[in-house]
Amino acid sequence: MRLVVSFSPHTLSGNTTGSYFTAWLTAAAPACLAGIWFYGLRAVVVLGVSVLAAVLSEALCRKIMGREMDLSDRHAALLGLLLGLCLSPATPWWVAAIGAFVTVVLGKWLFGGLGFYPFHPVLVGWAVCYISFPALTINYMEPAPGLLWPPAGEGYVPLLALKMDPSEMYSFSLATLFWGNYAGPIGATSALALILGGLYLFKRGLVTPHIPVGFLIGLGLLALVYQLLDSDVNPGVLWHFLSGTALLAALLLAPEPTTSPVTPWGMLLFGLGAGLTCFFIRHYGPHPDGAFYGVLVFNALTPILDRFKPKPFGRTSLA
Amino acid sequence: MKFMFRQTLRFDEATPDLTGERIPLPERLTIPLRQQAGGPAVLAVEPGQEVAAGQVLASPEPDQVDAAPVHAPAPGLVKEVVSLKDFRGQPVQAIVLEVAGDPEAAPEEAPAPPAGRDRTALAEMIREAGVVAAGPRSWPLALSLGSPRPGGGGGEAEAPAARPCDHFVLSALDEEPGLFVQRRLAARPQPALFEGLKALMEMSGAGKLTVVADKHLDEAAWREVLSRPGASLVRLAGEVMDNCLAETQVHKATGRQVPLPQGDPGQVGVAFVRLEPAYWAGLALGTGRPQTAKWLTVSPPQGVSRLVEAALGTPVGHVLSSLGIEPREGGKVILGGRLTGWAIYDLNTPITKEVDGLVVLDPDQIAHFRPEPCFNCGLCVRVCPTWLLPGELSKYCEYNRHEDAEAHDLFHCIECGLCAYVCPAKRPMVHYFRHAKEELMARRAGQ
Repeated sequence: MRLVVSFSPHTLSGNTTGSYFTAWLTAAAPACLAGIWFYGLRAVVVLGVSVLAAVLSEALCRKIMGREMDLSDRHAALLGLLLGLCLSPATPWWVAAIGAFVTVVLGKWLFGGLGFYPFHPVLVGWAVCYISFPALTINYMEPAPGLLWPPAGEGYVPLLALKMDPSEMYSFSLATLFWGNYAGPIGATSALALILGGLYLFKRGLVTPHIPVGFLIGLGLLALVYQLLDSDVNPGVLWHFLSGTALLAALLLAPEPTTSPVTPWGMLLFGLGAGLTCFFIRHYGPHPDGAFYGVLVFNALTPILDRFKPKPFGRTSLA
Repeated sequence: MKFMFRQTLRFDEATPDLTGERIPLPERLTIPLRQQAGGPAVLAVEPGQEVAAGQVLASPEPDQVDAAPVHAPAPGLVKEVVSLKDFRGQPVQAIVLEVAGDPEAAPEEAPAPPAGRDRTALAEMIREAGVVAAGPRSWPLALSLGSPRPGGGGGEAEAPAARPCDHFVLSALDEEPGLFVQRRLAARPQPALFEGLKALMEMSGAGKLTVVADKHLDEAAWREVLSRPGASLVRLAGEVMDNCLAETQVHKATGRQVPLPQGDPGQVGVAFVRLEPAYWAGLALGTGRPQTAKWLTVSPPQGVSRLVEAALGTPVGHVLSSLGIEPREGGKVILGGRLTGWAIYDLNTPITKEVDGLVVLDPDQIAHFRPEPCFNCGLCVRVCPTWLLPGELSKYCEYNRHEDAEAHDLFHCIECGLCAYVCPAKRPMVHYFRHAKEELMARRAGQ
């Protein structure tokens, strides 16, 4: 009788890369639906083109690099979807396509693919779009629920109000910011949808709250201090959380596995640093929002932050 | 910072019929001379010799404290001494015994236990009975009684510091979820178990006793033990792998961390004993019978597990055929449990004192690894019972950076298999770690 011999363990949980990223796609779904609700077919086009271009770029990279043509891990689709969520609904389809191509080729495969890239590929792709075509990437428009193809036009963005005209920033109620009925990226405005997605990842046990909580502590702490100093020009903690891309970055982008730490303290510091960076860029930087840059900067520090690891069990001094 | 971080994995397990059954003796027993972590015992019989049940077949040299004697489970004729591979694939010598009768059919009169039970006499009796604590660290029971064991456990060698044993941890949990050898005794303790426990506690000199058990422990049956002064009960879920580990149990019962990589509770003044070895010790002290059998949890590919008692040296194939379990071509047979057991290729592999379980898998139940790159998801970090970063370690091992792996505490890994179990990239984690450890040990031995 021939028996199979292999090393332990002899049972596996059934987790696969595919199931892992399918869960992430599910977590991103509420934000997509919110975007489609607010921007109709415009959101569908940007998201669709972005996903399609990402998957095609993935196939191309695998072909050129002689890798197995196996797209079942759904990672490219997730990258495409997340990129779409970061873009404006008025972004032309070809900018979304370029962004997705850059995300997958430059952000992911030039470094060796899943597991090797140092920066979040989506944020690399987004940064390239933003720097190359700023007017086409952050040309946020007013949401128009119910319209199939809402007209583009200059939207009124809370974070621009913070920078340009602080007296106007309180014209957005917290409820508006929570539901997401204001101009912004497709997937960033609806706090409700993002929180649902984040809770799903926590519940599935794929993400621990350390990074999002750290991010919100970093951002919230400074917001609190600043507001106590002068509440006329500095909005409150919740205003900072709910406006712009803070929640998108904290819940769906910062916890990206490859580019974020895995130790409890490392993750907390990572989130904290990204949140602080976000606040400083929002208040002093040249860009309207700083959440994405906060995450990108701290991606670079991930290997160092992972040194904050627990002392292994059983390393005791017997003296 | 452990808050919201650790992930507790609960394994599905169905409690088998805890009565258990005895496997009839096969025609031939193949009895290895080494059935514990230390070295082999020295052969004490010759081919062609008739032996009685319980007769010493091999006995360690006086300085071999880490070896245990081996006894004949049944009367018979020593046919030959053969070389074979044990279930871990290590070469070992074994005695082939042609069985001439069943000792259970007519139990012989046991020698009376010594009247004066001083600690040295008790220790000598237990040592001579050849009782071994099963599991990944299968040391002779006499070495589990609270004084540090000789020799290191690999890796950075640290001199064991002597610390008087003050805490006795009695574990009613198995080596891993799915096994029920210890929990059977927790639910249905036998007088011999309590006898053994009493003697072992006396030998260890410990004043405090903590019984670690899950829901299977019958508190009414254990009342006498639990009402002793200094005794307490800690309940841990037995379907959680972490709880099954000696390290975790000692930590939860006493607050002390067992130093790794040695993994010797004696170094922190703890005697750690599971129920089955205590039972065999009690039997030896009460009746003079050495350990010649082993309780096993046998898991067929389908259906509920069975609890059996098999004579040492019984071939795995005989155990399975007596239970009507037929392994399938291309399937897997595992000695030990699903998480830490060893797959065997030969159904003639004998049952030894080291194993608590026997698992049979059909071809379609075999888990497959794929060495995909680690993408740093961190799931392994959240399940590792020794608080390592298994993903990072596996990358070092994958690229043969063994020294780097060692610098990141490779030898603290106890090969529980949880990291590989959760890994979405299906990386063969335990394989990487075991290979790197072997490489490092071989290099060190070669120097």
